[in-house]
Amino acid sequence: MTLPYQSIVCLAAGAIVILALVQPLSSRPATVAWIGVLAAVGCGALGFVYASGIPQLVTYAVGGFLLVAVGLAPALELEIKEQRPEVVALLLLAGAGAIGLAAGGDLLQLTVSMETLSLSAALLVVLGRGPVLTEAAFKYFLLAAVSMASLLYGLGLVYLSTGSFAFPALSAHPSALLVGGLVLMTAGFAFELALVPLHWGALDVYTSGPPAVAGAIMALSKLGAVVAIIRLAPAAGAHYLFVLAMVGLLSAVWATACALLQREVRRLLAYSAVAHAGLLAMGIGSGVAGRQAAIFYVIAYGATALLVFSALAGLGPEPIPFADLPRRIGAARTIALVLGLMSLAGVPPLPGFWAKLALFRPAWQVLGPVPTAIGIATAVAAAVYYLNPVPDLWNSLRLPGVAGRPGLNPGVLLAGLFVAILTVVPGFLWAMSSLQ
Amino acid sequence: MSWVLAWACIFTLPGLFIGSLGWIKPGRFSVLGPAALLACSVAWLLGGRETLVIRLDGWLPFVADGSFELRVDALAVLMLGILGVVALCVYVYTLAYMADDPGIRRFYAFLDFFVAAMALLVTAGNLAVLLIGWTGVGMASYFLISFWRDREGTLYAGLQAIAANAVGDGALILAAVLLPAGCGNLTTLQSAACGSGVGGAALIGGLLVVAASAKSAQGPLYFWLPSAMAGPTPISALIHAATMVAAGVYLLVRVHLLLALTPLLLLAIAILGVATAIFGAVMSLLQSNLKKGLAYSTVSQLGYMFAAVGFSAPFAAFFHLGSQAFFKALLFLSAGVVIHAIGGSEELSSMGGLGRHLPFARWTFLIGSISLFGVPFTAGFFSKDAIVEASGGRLLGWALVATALLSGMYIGRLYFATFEGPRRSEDHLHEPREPRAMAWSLLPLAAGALLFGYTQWPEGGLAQTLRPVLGAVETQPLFTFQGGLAALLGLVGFVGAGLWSMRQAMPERAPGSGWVRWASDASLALAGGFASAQNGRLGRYAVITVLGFAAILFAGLRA
Amino acid sequence: MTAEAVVLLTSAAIFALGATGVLLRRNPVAVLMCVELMLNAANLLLVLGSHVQGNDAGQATALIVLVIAAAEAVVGLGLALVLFHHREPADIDEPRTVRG
Repeated sequence: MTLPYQSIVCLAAGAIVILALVQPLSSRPATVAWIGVLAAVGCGALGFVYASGIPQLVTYAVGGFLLVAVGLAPALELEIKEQRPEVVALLLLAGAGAIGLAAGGDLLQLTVSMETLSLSAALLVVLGRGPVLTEAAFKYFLLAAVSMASLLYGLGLVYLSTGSFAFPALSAHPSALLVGGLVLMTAGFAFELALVPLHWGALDVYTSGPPAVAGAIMALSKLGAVVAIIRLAPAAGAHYLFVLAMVGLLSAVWATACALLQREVRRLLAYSAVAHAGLLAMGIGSGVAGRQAAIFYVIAYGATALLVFSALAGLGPEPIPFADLPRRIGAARTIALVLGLMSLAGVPPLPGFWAKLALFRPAWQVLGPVPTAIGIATAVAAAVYYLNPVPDLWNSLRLPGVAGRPGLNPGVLLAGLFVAILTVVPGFLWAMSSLQ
Repeated sequence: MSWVLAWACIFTLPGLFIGSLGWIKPGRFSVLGPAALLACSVAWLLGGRETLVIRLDGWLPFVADGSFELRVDALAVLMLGILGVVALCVYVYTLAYMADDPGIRRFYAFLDFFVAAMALLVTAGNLAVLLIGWTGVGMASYFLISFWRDREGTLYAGLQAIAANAVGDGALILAAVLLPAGCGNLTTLQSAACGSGVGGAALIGGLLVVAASAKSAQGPLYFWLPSAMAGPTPISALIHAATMVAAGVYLLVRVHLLLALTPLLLLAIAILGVATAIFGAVMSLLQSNLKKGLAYSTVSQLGYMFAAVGFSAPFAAFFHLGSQAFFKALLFLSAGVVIHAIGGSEELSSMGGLGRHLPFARWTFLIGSISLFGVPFTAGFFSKDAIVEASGGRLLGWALVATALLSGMYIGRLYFATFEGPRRSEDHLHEPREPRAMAWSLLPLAAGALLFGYTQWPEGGLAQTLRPVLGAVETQPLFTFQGGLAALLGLVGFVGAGLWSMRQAMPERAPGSGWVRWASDASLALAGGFASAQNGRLGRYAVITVLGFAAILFAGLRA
Repeated sequence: MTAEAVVLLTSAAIFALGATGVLLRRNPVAVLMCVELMLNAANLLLVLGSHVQGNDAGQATALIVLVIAAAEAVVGLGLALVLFHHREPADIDEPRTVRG
């Protein structure tokens, strides 16, 4: 497994260039976007050349997610319009953090990457418009800081027991010190994953952050956290993996129940993000095949979430009823939104469904029938709340002022392309997600 | 021809896209889709009848049988043919029925989507492909039930359909998840290798039965079908009477060899079917709403088909599926003519004496009725006869014979309350004539309701066609004692109901489905409890977060 | 009790103290200070590890953690400042627009 330092350097360089030229660039959003695109493409290309295995896949995924997010930068609702360059730079830094989190060579790199990711996320949210965002960002930041402290303390414990920052080797009987350290570290990552009971901050950020930014944070932090936990948790022993899976199950049940009550599309998406995090944790606890499924799931989920959030790009933080959405985002993006919601709901043949199918098979074999049955129950119950707004959206399509709006943005097109590819040929991503 | 039919799932897609663009009048182009479906099916039956399997390997490497597999055989083509003919009639009928509705274009788009998904369900060769069609028809059903969003009750009815479908989808997903590697082909599920997993063939079969009973509104999962009548009437005819609700029966017929491995499961299916047949018939008698009465009748008839599957008589089940598709679609569309004429009301209290004004609808409704309660030599007679004969004289079979009396009573009650007797409402007819498109589209269905049984004649022609799929079927005598008795009881019930309903008032309110309300209220209360934890207080969040860390640490260390 | 065990317990105590502070304090700035306390507990642990294991990596890491803590303080105080700018929360339970 070679590590994609080159990709991280490429993203960081992009961010530095933008930040260095903030003054001249603040009036040229297109140039900023192009620098961002260049860095994202470079990230994937360097990953292709220098990395292999999961790190390579991570560079592709992060590059793809960043392309969508950067494409949405012109649609951002910002407190100060001229701050677009900062947003793109922070997005690139968050991407670098996600790659480091997923592919870092030792525990210290993981820690620093997580810090990069969560600080960038908090700052990205606060750049949006309005006091609600400050509130959400502060809550997110404070809870992220607590997780960071837990992560660092866990790091100290692991170091105390092994004497190095390398990934601890698998052993049949890990010492209590090592297990304690690993548990604290993965719990810190679980905050990025938004698992119950560590989901509060993420929930608010997903709800009130500018949609374009919220989607990118969601996709990047989940990707980084999942791969990081997959690399760390097995060393803590099978028992802990089972605990993790049960925490995941709790998240899925909790968030599904809460989502049933939501009448606002972004709050709905936020709760569903927690439910998906729960299923991901179930996958991580389901053996090697389950971890492969979790990587597959998190990438398919990221692409779909970005599709949904790109469709919503440009909306302010105030709640919007479903029936008003088409008037705000136009017909083409409403169709993209419906498609994304269906994929998140797990409607075949969309990638969201393939991912669930891939995940439940190992879950059945490792966790047993009851947790799997409960997991499937939450997955099909999700259909109830995801499909609920669909007829409303569809009905409003023909209202005056909806059809004529030029709604499509590059983010929707790109994310739509990713989702379409994963719909037709999910097998290639599955092959790339292999941990061998 | 097999090659063309294998891709039956895309026949209606051109109609969907071109129709949505809005270049031509809604529905005119879409009609070609089901027409092509019907034409190709007939051509296949007249031609070589060649079985074809299309298989692309390695499509979904993460499930047991991840190939993309389509299968065209006699069973699939007959089902496609039924789908084609009913859909064609419904498409033509809708041209007139929905002519004034501003949403007609969207209506046809959903219809096209439904037919495509249903065709995929029928031609699916393995579980992975079946899942796509299975979920697709469920979604189409939900969209169309809730088609009139602003009318009271349509949303709740749609959610009920989703909830019931979710149970079935979950069971199907579970089946796909726990099959051993390499299994998933619907025709080879009974092999020893596929039964080697957890629970074996009984568990797989049981899950498929749960899925089928959700789709076909059997047992406790019946509740969504009567509520689904909130949708437009053509939908009730196509989706909630003729095709989609029969998909559960179709699936069980497809996998009958798997079910045959577990006699206890077969017995359970038979009991479920008979109980639902009786329950549906009784409930139909209590309805004050014409369409709901017909819906419970569908529940009851699907119970007959389940019972046939339980009697190890998949052919009889499919035979009745075909008859039911014709006569029930006919009944619904005739009822639609009535509802259209009196301005949208579905309550029996606003009908009565309409036979004079709507002679065509009256005769077609009567044809559907006599086929339903099994007047000799109509389609329903032959297929019901096949089912009671297959029971082999068991008590369950006699129960079905007795249910024929109830069938006659409920359909007689609906018929007489609608078309005969004095008019119970003072309102003028909204549309005194029967639009031509509606009338014409009823004729093929009426012909089917009368004549579908003769596909078995001479020498069991239908059974011979299905022999490669369903195995040898004993050609039954034309007239069994049980079948004759059932027909007689049905006739007695029909006439009795006529005499009785001339004098009795209609019930005001129908009993609803109680346990569903309870379940939905309870789950919402639970969800409310969870959501109130997210109260915006950062202090509370921090407490729960830190305690969460502590709990995870504690659980992780307790190795 | 060895000196190492004393240091380990001290660091655990400081970490727990910080966590308790996060739980109980109401003022945003005080909560931030408690988080810093938790980070410093981790630092103590790293230095202890360096001593026990006899290599310098832990000490170097402790320096990096200091930088991380500084970055966190900068962002945290900045956010708190913006929050104060919009309104004056003496209590972290005060801002609760986003909920439900």
